[in-house]
Amino acid sequence: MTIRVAVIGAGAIARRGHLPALKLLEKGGLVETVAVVDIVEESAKRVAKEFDIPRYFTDYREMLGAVEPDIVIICTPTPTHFNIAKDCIEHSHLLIEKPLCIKLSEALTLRNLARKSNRVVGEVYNYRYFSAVLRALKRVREGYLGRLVSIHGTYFAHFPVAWTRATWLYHERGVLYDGLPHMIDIMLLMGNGKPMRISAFGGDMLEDAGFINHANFIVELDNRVFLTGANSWIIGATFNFTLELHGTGGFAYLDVRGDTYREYHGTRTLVHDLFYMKDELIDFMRSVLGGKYFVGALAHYPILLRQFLRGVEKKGKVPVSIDDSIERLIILEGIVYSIENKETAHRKVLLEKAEKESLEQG
Amino acid sequence: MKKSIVGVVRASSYNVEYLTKRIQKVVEYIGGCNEVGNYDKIVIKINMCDAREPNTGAITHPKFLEAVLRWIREENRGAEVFVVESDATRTLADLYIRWFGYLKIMEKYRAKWVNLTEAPKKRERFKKLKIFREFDVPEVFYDAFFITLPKLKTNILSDITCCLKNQYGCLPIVNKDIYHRVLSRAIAELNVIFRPSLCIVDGIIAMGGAQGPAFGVPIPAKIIICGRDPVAVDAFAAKYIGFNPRKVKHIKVAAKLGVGSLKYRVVGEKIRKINFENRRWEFIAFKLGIKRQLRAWSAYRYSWRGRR
Repeated sequence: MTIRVAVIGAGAIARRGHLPALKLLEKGGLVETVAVVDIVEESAKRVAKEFDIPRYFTDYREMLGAVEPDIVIICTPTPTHFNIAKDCIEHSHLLIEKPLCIKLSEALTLRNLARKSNRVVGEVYNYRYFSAVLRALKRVREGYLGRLVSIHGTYFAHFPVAWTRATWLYHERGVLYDGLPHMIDIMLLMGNGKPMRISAFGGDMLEDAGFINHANFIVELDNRVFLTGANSWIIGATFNFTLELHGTGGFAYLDVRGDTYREYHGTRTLVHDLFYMKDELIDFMRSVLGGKYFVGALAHYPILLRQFLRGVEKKGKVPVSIDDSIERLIILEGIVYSIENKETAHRKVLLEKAEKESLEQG
Repeated sequence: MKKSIVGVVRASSYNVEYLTKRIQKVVEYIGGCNEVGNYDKIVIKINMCDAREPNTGAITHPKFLEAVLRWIREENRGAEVFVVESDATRTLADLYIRWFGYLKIMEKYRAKWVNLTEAPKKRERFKKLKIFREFDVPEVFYDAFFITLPKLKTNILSDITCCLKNQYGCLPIVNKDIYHRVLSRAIAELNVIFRPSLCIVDGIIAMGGAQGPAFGVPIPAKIIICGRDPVAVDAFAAKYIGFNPRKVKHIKVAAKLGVGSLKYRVVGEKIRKINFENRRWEFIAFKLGIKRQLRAWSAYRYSWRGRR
């Protein structure tokens, strides 16, 4: 059976990630892209033409009634996710770009609505499919690093001024909603626990930007794995997304963007580094010659979409379900809470507060 | 020459109940062990070579000891059970026994802790031996049924460390490294003095790479090896890890001294081959003393900066 998919938002991530992946899956007869929606008619029209999509709309509500898609992919700016998702969830399953919503309470509302209408909601995390990340995950899960004690991550990027001209990212939570969700996703994947306590420092480090542009945080998981991280738009080392995994049996360095993984046990020597450099050079040449290097994380959309489709058809697990998304949002919400209130955020308190707000949202 | 029997079973976790059953199974494979029920005194030698957390694969996992004690108590409620280890240059046995939770387990199963370095000893003569002609044997070993619980690991000095090398820890002195120049012979002779009657190898989380026995790569090998002949068990273990047992010196010397036989027959479950990540270049680099050289380089760099 062919699954009918509609895409809301015809921006960069739809054009470069979702739609090429859907096109690929269409060839296998798995899906059919039935409509694209964008508030800018010109964009919707251009994208529909570029990807041979039969219909385009400027209002997603109109689209829902007209084409009745099985799945809706939401790739609009984050602040709009919740309202669009709330309207769509009765009609179809949802795949939403990260982060799922701005607030934890919104995610709880969505979960309740999804349960009521028996819909699947998934979130897009494509960085977890890098081969280095998958290798690290395998090594951690199989115990090659012994017992995992802590994970330290850094995600540094420049203010989003060029690529997407994403001025919508300059809301009060700013940098936290840029690349950090990817980092938290991989950290939780490795740490395999639930966040219990979150402490964070930082905020607006400029004169008067009005949004968080730097944060350092510590998260304690229920299995006593500690996550620490630095996330910034102001550090002079941009496009840096790295993780250090600290286990009782060894130490690993994971460069997510560079797709490289190094593991050290005992004494780290120059000889180890030289051999790793040799392997990385070979991998780099291969990825350049194979063209994968130039696509980066966008190359993982077909895998992600295929997994989501299997989840919808109940043939497999959704890669990131709404329950997983809530765990990720607890950390984001906890960081904001801790920075604003200058105190540690506790899971229970965050959830109670969010549930109250969710009830108010109806 | 008759082949020794080596039993092998798969074991995927350190769940004590499950592990006890697995240990019973592997002992069954080697024809059972009635002595555990008959002896009044049982001595268990664990491997606790460094202050390394159990999941690193460097020390006998406390849960593994618990499973063995549980099995012993099922067979023999009244026996006096002693868990032994000695101090070494990097082993503070009395501390580690508490840090890693062995002590609580011992209390639970009424086992007693003996630090061999401080235990009362009796001087014995061993005419056939070269290094240990006179040796202070800890009294706890007299009239006891001796079980050794080694880890399955690589070792930069002796290639592998398993049953035979575990008895090196029975040497009741702190500066054990004085015998490193004649390590193979010393290990073999110590096995003449302390020949284990039963060997149960904890290979659930093993260790590979050139930085064993303390800082190698934890390898989820998920096996338990068992036997009455430590040479045969080590020969099998060496082959499993990726070494030729006939080229591992201490195994060869131990066989010559009559500790056991290099010929063995494997009984038990099918096991899959595991990569122990023994990179040749890493072994060469560490055997050439890369760590010492690095220390020398950094000392030189430091002094040079100091002069400026």
